[in-house]
Amino acid sequence: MIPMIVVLAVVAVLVAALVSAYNRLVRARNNVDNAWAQIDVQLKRRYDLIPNLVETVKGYAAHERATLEAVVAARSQAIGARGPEERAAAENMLSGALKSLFAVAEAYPDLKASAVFAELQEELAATENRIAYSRQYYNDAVLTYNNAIQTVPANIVAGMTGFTPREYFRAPGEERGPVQVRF
Amino acid sequence: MAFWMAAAAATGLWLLLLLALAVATRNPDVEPGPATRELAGQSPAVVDLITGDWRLCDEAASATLLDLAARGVVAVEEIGPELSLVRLRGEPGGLRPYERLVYDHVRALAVDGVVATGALAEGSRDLRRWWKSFRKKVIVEAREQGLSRPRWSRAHALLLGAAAVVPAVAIGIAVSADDARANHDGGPGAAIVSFALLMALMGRLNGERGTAEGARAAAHWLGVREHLRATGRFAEQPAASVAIWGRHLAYAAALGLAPRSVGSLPVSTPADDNRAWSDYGGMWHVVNVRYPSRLLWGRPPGATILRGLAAGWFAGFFAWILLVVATAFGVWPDGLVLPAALAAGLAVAGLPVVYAIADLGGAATVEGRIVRLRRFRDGGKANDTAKWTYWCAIDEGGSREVRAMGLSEEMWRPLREGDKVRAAAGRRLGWIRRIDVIEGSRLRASYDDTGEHLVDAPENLGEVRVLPDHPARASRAEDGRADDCRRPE
Repeated sequence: MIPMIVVLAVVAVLVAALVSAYNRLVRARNNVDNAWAQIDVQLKRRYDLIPNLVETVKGYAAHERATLEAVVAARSQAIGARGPEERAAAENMLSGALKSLFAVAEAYPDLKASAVFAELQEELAATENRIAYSRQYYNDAVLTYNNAIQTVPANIVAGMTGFTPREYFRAPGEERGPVQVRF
Repeated sequence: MAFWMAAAAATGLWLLLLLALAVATRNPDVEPGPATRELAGQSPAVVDLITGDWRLCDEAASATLLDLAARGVVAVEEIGPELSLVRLRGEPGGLRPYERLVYDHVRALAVDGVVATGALAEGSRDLRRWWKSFRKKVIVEAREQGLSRPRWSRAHALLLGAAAVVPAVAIGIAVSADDARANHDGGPGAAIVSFALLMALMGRLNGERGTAEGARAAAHWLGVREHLRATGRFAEQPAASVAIWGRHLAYAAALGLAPRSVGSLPVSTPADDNRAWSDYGGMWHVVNVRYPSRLLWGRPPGATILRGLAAGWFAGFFAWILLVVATAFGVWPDGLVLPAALAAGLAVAGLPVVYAIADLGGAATVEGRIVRLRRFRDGGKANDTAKWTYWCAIDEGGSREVRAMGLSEEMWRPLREGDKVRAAAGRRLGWIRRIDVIEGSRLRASYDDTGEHLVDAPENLGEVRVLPDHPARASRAEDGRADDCRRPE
C-alpha cells in the first residue's frame, strides 16, 4: 500500500510540474504573439501614412517618379511579407525608400515648407520610433520565450508539446541585436 | 516641588489652548454632492488636495501628467502590456508651475522626445525636494482660488507663541530652584528649550485647512467621483486610455479611482532597487538588477584572500578535532587525520583564494551606463557606527540582467545614476577596482527640480508617522509624504 501511495505522489508531483511548465510556456508564447501584434499595429500605421505622403510629394515634385514608385513598390512588398525575417527585410527596404524620398524633398523648398508634409514627416518619425520600441519589446519577449523552451526541464515539455523557437525581428543593419541573458 | 507643579499646570493649560484651537480650526466637513459629470475649473492636483482632506496624495503628480496628456501636451502610447511611452508634443505654453515641474521631469528623461512610463521614477533629482516643491505649488494655487488656507492664522500663532512663554518661564524657574549649583544658571536654558519644544509642537500641528469655498468645491468633486465611479471602469484603465477618456481619466486618477493608470506613471515614486530603466543604447529598456549574496561577490580580492584563509584554517581545525575524536572511537584511521583536515581546510579556502588571485591577475573592462547606485547597511548599530556596503550596477547594453558590483565608498560617492562609465572590475568577485566617468549623467541638473518655495506649507494635522517596516512605505515616509490620504465616502 505504502509503495503505491509513494508512486502516486511522485506521479502527481510530476504531472503538476509538467502542467506548470506547460502553462508557463503558453504564457511566454502568448506574450510573443501579443508583442508581434503590437508591431503589426505600428507597421500598418506606417503603411497608412505612406499614400498620403506620396500624394503630398507628388503635388510638389511630380517628376521624381522613380523615387515615388520605389516607395509604393516597397510598401506593397512590405504589406505582402510574412514572418519576422521576410517582414524585417521588406521593412528595411521600405525604410530605405522613405529615406530617399525625404532626401529628394530637401531639394524642394515649397515641399519642405508645406505644413501637411511637415506633419506627415513628424507622424512618420513618431511611428518609426514606436516601431523601434515595439521591435525591442518583441525581441525581449522572444528572448524570454526561447530561453524558456531551451532550458531544462521546460525543454522536455516544449519538445513534447510542439513549442518551437521564434525568430527575432532584426533591426536595419542589426546595430542592435537581440539581447542575451547573462547569469 | 511647588514650582514644578506650577510649571506642569501652565504647560497643561497651554496644551489645552492648543487643543481648543486645533479643534476650532479643523477641516470643514464635506458631504458629497449629487453625482454629476460636470468638471469644474480646478486642476486634478488641486482636486486631489481638496478631496483628500487638504492633504496632497501621491497620485496628484500622475494625475497631472494624465491631464497634460489629455490636453495634448504629451501623448501616452501603449506598446505592450508592460511598456508604454510618454511622447512630448512640442514646447507647451501656459502651464501651471506644478505642471511645468512634471513636464520638465518628463523632458529631462526623454530620449528623442520619448520616455517609457516605467522610467518616470528614474533620474537623479532629489525626490523629497521635488515633491515638496510640487506640493507647495499646488497649495499656492488652491489658496489663490480661496479653497485652502493655513491652519494657524497670524493671530493664532501670536496667541500660542505668547502663551507658550508662560509654561517656558515656569519650567525655567522650577529648574533654577532645583539647580544645586551656586549660580542657578540652568533655568534660562531650560526655559529656552521648553519654549522651542512647544513651538515645534505647534508647528507640527500646522497644515492646510479647507475654506467654506473649498468645502463646496470638494463636495462638487465628490459628486463627480460618484459619477465617474458609476460610469467608467477606471480602475482597470491603462494610462494610454487617456486618448479615449481625456481629462475624465486624469480626474479619476486624482480622485483615487484609477490605480492602474497612476501606478504606471511613477512620477513621484522612488525608483525600484531591482528593476531599473536604462536608456543606454538610445532606447529605454528594463534592466533587472541583482545584488548577490556577499559570501564571495562584491568583496575586494585582498580581503577575500584573508577571509578564505581564515575560513580554511577554522574548517581544517574543526575537521582535525572531529577526526581526532573519531579516531579515539576507532571509526577513522589514525594516519588520515592530518591529510583529511588539511583537505577540508584547502577545500574551504580554495575557491575564494583562487577567485581572488584570478581577479588580481586581470580585470575586465566594463563600459556602460550606471543604472543603480545603492548602499545597504551591513552591520553596526548606531548611525555613527553603521557599516555600509556600496553597490554599482552598470548596464552594458547587451543584457537585461545585471549584477551590481561592489566598490569602495570613495569611488561610490562622486558617481551618479545615469553616468556613462568605464570600470575595471573582477568578473569573479564583482569588485570594481577603478571607475572613470566618461560622460556625466544627462539626468543630472538638467532642470531645476527645486522651484520657488513661495509659501510655507507644513504638513497637516494628524499626519501619520509611518514606521519603515515595508520598503515602499518607508520610501514614502522618507520622502516626507503623507501616507494616509483619505477621501470622504
